Amino acid sequence: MAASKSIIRRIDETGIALLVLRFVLGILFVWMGWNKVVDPVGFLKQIHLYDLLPESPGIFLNATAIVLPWVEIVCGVALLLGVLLRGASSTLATMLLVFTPAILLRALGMMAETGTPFFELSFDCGCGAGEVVTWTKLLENTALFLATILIFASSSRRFCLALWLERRKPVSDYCGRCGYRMPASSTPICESSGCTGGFRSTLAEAHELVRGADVT
Amino acid sequence: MRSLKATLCELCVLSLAAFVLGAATNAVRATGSLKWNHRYFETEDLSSTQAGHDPSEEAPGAAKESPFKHPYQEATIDDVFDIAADPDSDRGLYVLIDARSADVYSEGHIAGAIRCYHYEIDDCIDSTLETALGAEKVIVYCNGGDCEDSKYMCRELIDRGVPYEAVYLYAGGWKEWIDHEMQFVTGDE
Repeated sequence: MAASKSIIRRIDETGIALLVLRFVLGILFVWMGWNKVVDPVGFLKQIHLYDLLPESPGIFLNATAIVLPWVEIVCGVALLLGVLLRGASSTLATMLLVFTPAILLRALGMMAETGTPFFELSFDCGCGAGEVVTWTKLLENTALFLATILIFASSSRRFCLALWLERRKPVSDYCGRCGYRMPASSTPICESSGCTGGFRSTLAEAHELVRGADVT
Repeated sequence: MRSLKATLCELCVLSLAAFVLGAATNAVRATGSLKWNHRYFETEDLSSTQAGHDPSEEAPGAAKESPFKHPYQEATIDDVFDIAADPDSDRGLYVLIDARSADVYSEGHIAGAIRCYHYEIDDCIDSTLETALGAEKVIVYCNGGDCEDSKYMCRELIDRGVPYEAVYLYAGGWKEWIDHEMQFVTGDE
């Protein structure tokens, strides 16, 4: 268990896995969001078909049709740039958690109505990709959900704009000795219980130190 | 805890950015702009109820070919053909309304049909009502099949004063018209 944890941690620390996931999900969600932005009426009709929101008052359906595509685009851009990663990944995970079961329920309803076998069902789910084969869409969404969880759980910030911005800060929030995030105060001394003599440094230095940290 | 707070802050920032972008694009777009509070899918026919018609009852003369439920009278392809074949003879008495979007309408529509898209109703309702209010029969169609735009258009007309008895829904729609190889015209008029 410890060995596998170490391998996973080492893979995560390279930042490569996170970078790949970020790019794949980022491009996908920006593309799907844009397809919805260019046809808001079509997206509105699709949302209505899911029966997730009340028809009256109209604000619920209309606001979702207006704002949700931009949520996808904004989160996709955040993933591509490597900023606000936890917020973006959790938002996308929540959306997938809501819409994937909704697609499944709608598919089951169509199956009951038309008698079409489940693996032959296809319809426009409103995801921005047009008409898709249902079972492949469900698999795809499950994979995307797992990918968003991995991004959320990752501790790496390599190849991320967030790290580059942090490095530009004149005074970091991190202890240069143990990497502990120091409270916002004027004292330069780290007050972490596991650290003595620590001091504020840049985040890059903190990351380097944490890797081989000898916290006392 | 700190991490949760940071994540929630990020969520707020992303949501706010999405809201601002969504509102801005909706406000400036030339076509497809949605009204925040409009009930585009209102199905309860208040006007017809006031006229004494119970929407839950089958409409008189309804052939009920529609795959979706609606409380309106249905027109058949023959009814539509009679109007389309010779619109001049009954100009003003019979009105055909195409409830589809502009690009689809341009590609082909039934001769004599005036366009009024339910989702851009402000652009067309005044001119449509001018013709529909005095008409004996107003037939509304859209794509057909499970397209419900004609249903919502019927409701808009009735809510704005067109008598329930004058409004008909052509459930077969454009698809049935084309399947029967009926004549049509292209362009914006």
